This record gives sequence, structure tokens and C-alpha cells, in this order.
Amino acid sequence: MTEIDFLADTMRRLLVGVPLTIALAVVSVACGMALAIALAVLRAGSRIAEPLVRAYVFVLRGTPLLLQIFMIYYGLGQFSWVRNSIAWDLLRQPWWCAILALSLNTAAYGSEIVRGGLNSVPSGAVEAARVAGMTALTRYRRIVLPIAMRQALPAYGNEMVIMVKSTSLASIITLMEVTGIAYAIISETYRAIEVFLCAGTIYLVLNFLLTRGIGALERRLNPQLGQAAH
Amino acid sequence: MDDTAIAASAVAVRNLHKRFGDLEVLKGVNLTAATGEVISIIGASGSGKSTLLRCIPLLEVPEQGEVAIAGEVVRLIQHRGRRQPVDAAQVNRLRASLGFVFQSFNLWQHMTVLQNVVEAPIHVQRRPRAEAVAEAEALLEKVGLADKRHVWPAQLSGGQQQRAAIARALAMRPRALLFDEPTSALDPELVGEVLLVIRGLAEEGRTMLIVTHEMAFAAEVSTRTIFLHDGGIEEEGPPSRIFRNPESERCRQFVQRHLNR
Amino acid sequence: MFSSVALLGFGQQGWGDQLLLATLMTLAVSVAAFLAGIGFGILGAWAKLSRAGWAHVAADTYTTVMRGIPDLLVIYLFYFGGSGAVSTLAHLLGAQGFYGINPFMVGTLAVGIVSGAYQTEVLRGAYLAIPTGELEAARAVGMGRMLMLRRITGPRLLHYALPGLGNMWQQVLKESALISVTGLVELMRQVHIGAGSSGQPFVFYLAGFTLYLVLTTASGGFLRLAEAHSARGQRRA
Ligand SMILES: Nc1ncnc2c1ncn2[C@@H]1O[C@H](COP(=O)(O)OP(=O)(O)O)[C@@H](O)[C@H]1O
Ligand SMILES: [Mg+2]
Repeated sequence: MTEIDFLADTMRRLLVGVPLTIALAVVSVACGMALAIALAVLRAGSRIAEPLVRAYVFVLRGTPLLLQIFMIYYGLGQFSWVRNSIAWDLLRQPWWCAILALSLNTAAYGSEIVRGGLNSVPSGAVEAARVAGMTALTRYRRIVLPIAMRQALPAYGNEMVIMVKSTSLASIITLMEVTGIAYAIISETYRAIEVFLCAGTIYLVLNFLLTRGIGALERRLNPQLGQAAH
Repeated sequence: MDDTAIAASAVAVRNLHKRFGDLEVLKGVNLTAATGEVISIIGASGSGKSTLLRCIPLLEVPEQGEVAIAGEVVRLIQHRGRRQPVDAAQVNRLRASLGFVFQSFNLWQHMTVLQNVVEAPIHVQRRPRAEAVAEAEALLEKVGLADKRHVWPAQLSGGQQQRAAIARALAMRPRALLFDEPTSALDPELVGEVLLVIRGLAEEGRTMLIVTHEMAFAAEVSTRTIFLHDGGIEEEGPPSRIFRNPESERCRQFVQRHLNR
Repeated sequence: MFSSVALLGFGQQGWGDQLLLATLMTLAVSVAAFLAGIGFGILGAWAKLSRAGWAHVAADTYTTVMRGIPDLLVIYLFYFGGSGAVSTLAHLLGAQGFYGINPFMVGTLAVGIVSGAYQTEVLRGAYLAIPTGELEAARAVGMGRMLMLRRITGPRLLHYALPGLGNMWQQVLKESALISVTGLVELMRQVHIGAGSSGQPFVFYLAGFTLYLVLTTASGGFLRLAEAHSARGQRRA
């Protein structure tokens, strides 16, 4: 097989893993973001929840993601009551363990980013909503969160890129996404450099598209900043 | 201006040309400061005063012309399309024989006032620490900052920072002191304390070049005044004439606008 | 509960000494990778700040690639690619078989190169944050390049870079867990081994959580002290 053939063949095999990589990233970013917003709002709004959320963030941000994945995939099974629960149907599947670990992990980092966004909401905007007679829920939904999320978007974009990279750890619990396939090809052929080039290109393209998308979203949400309007 | 005049001078520049991109800022300036002279340099904003002053310690390298410090001409060559010093060691040695005071003080924020003052004497001039510290303390006393010597620059007022910067310049035992608008960054009520220190230095007979917008002060302390316009010396002479009876119409207008403020 | 204590303790059946050694190994490989990262970061920042066009392109490519590709992939590249290169070399010299290369070196280099891409941005930003007037004042008193670097630029750079470098260190500490895939027995690997062979995985992973938290918290405290020291006399922003 010539060099070109090998690269083309490798690329074909790696592309099979792309849907799984994307699925892992999309599902865990979505679940993670919902949890992140909930955590940030809880931390800001409830004196009882505040130390709990802080502890959560402290543990998840202070330990390696790989360890968190292993804890969920291998660690929880130590207990018979876990194995006998309904959740076990999910917890023994690598896919759900990866989704759970990735979501919980990104929620911790994400909640800090959202918290920064919440802190940046001008108090005047909240006042105005209050005198307009909005309930607390409406205020959050219509005023506070939209402002906070716009503020948080650039940093959250970085976190999404990190998540795309992090999905590669799912390969360690047998999921054959792009990095898992790359590992398999390398151990068959020992042609690490070529495989790295192909897999690296795939991740660079994915992240390039992601950053472009976030940039476009930023411009759409802040039309006053771009020249596009008018 | 001949070579013997340069040899006898504290600071001299000859036929100085400096441009930034398409903008020609200095268009052939000649200036000699004899030892003991106090020269005030005035002119509109953008006329090239700072650039002229910064060319003397080679903070800017002129495309044409010469700079001499204490009679020693700085050697410059054309290299890779840029004019630059032949010998960095010569430039550093000559810089260490000048004191430069900036508009924005530029104290080193990670050092206390005293550390700022002794830094160059110890590490550039390699003088004994004890001697440098003793001299620095005397200088801080002189600028009225004896009690602030162990304080960080960020904890000082603008006027205090500028006085510390003057002490730092004096610690070099400079052949000449160069001031670039030393009071322009200060709140009005702090200007007086800095001018008082500079006035004291003039009375000691130090060689000084002062870029300033404080016309009354310039008229009072300087032995010669230079009016810079559009990159050239439009008029120069004793301050008594420049401020009361200038020949150039532009100089008259400029002086009048600023004296009346 | 008692059994867990005995399992993780320092007794004959305990894993305590292995866990302690593994923690030290994590610390060692993280320090090495972090220092390597500073090295790459200095090169990268220097290239991005230099006037040479090719240096910019090289540094931009470096940071874009390393920040867009999974660290795990980079570790595989170094581990298998490095071993492949060494094996080829060995075969050329007449030896046979597969030669692995030192996992400590591989991990240090791989994590260091990735971290270096982030440190490039930290150091570049820190350099640009130094007030230019302070550098100009150093030039005006006649300081040479090396003296200026040692007395002014270096300390000021460190001051502005310290918070960012602190984050980088924490990141390296966590990324170092990935080096376990090369077989280096650092904390992640040791915990995984214990989990597998004891039949009590939860207990071992919990111990892993605790030890990583000790490392990150202790170094976080140390970093705050260093920052406070470096911020002496600086006005709070
Ligand atoms: N480093 C520089 N790069 C580009 N232009 C500069 C630079 N320094 C000064 N200039 C320009 O040169 C002109 C003279 O500046 P300067 O010597 O600072 O004037 P002054 O001190 O008399 O106000 C101004 O138009 C200024 O914008
Ligand atoms: Mg000026």
C-alpha cells in the first residue's frame, strides 16, 4: 500500500467514528449546560445550596476527568444496591457512563462561567424588570439569563472546544469514537505519525467549525457589535 | 557648530533627522548644551520635543545626524536597512551618564522607592552598595521623600512618584538631566512640589534640558529657551527675549497663549 | 469500613505506600511537564512577539494545533511514534523486536508540549501587560539586555504571568492522569490497578479523588502565597 493509500484508508476508517464523537460532545455539552445554569442559579439564589454547589465544583474541577469516568464506569459497580437498581441498565453501558461523566464535568466548569455572566448583569436591568412587575421566574428567563449567557458565550465557547477534545477519553472505556479508532489503527500498524495527522485533522476541522459557529452566534446575539446590522 | 564646540559640550546633537514611517518628525535639528546650561524646550504638541529629547540617550535612533554626550560621539551605522548603534556597550555607558525624567514617572513597580534609586548605581555603574544606599538616602532627603524610602511606588501620589524618579535620575551622577514634561501628568496642586525640586537643581548649576509647558517656570529657571516648530528650531535665545519679544510671529502667538493661561 | 482502612493503610496488606509513591510520581511528572511547558511557552511567546514573519506562522500553527487536538492523541503520537522511531533505529543497528521508550519522558514531553501552547498565550499576554515606560526607564539608565531581563523584565513578567501559570499548573496536574495510558505508574494508574485487583474499585477511586484534591488544593494555596508575594506594593486592579 502506498503512503497516500494508507492515509486515505486511515481517514475512511476514522470518519466512521465522527458521528460518535459529535454525539458525545453534543449530548454532554447540552446536558452539561442545563446543569451548569441550574448550579449557577442555585449558587446565586440559595444559601443552603451555595456550599453544596461550591463543593461540587471544587471536587469536579480538582480531579482528572479520566478518574471521574473510571469512578462512574467501574467504581459504582462495587455496590450491590447500585447493581440492583434501575439505573444499572444505564450505568453498565460505556456510552451512558461517558455521557454522565462528561456532563457532570463540564457542568462544573460551565457553572463558573455562567456565574461570571450572572455577576456581570447590571443591577439596573434587574431593577427595571422588577418595577415592570415581572415575577422572579420571568425576570430570570427574560432578562437575567439572556444577558448573562451573552456575556458568558466566548468563555463557554472555549469550554465546548475543550469538551470536543475530552470526548476522546471515552475511548478508554471502549467507545470507538475517533481517538479509539486511531488507537486501534496505531496498534495494528505502528504508523503513529500518519494516523495522528489524519485524526488531528478531523479534530481541528470539528473545532474550527465549532468556533466559527460560536462566532456567528455571538454576532447574531450582539448585532450592535457587528457591521452586519443596518 | 564645530568639533571643538561638541568636544566641550555636555550634550550636543547635529543635523538630527527622525521620521516615523511617512511622518518626518525632526528635520535637521542642531543643539549644543554647554555644561551648566539650563535649556528649556517649548513648542506645540506634536512639534517633536519628546522625539528630540529621546534621541539624546538613543531611545530613538535618528536616521541622520549625530549625537554626542560629554563630547563623545555615539557611533551609528546603517545595518539591515536600519540605522543602529555600532556598540551597545557604548550606548549603555553614555546613557548611564545621563539622567532622564519621564512624563509618566516610569518607576519600577516591583521595587521600593529606595530600590528604584539604587538599582542603576549598583547594577549598571557597579558602585558599592553601601555607598549607593547612602547617596540614595541623601537624594531622597533632598527631594523630600526620606520617610518614603521603603514604600512601593503605587502607594505614592503622582508628585511623590515624580520626585522619586528625579532622585533616581540624580543617583546616576549625571552629566546632564533631561526632563520630558515632568509635570504634565500631575494634578495641578501637585505641580508646585516638583517644580520646586527642579528649580533647586537649576540653582546648583546642573546641566539640564527641560521640555515643558510651564512657561513662567521656564522663563525663570532657564539660561536659554528653544522654540520648536514642525520638527525644526524656529527660534532660540535667552528666555527674557523669547518670552517677551520673540522675532517669530508663531513663537509670539504660542508664548502668549500659554503665558496667559 | 475497617476493611477499606486496612486496604488503603500502610500495613502489609495495605496499598498505602504504593499510593504515596504514585502520588509522588504524579507530582514529579507534572513538575517536569510543567517546566517543559514553560520552555515551549517561552519559545512560542518569543516567536509571537518577534518581528520575523515565519516565526509568527510557526507559533500560530503550534498553538492552534495543540489547543484543538485531544491531549490523548498527542500522547499516543509520542508514545507509539517515539517507540517506532527508536525501534527503527535499533533495527538499523542490528537489534530486533519492539523497543518502548521511557514513559516518563513521553508523558513529560507530550503534556509539556500541549501545556506549552496555552502557556505561550499566558506569557505573551504577560509581556504585553508590562508598562512600556518601565522598560524604557531601564533602557534609559543604560541597562544591557541581560541585566534588564534579570532585574526588570523577568520579575515584571513573572508578576503578570503568575495567575495564568497557576491555572496551567493545575491543568497539567490533572492532564498528567492521561500519562497512565503509557503504563507509567502514577496516581491514576496505581488507583486503577488497586481497583482492579482488590475488588473494591469504589474505595480506590475515592482514594484517587482525595489524593488529587490534596495535590490541587495544596498547590493552589501555595500559588496564592506566591501571587500575594509578587503583588506586594502593586495596586489592586
Ligand atoms: N513611536 C512613534 N511612532 C509613530 N509616531 C510617533 C512616535 N512617537 C512620536 N510620533 C509622532 O511624532 C510627532 C512628534 O511627537 P513628539 O515628539 O512626541 O511631540 P511632542 O513631544 O512635541 O508633543 C507626533 O506627530 C507623534 O504622533
Ligand atoms: Mg511630548
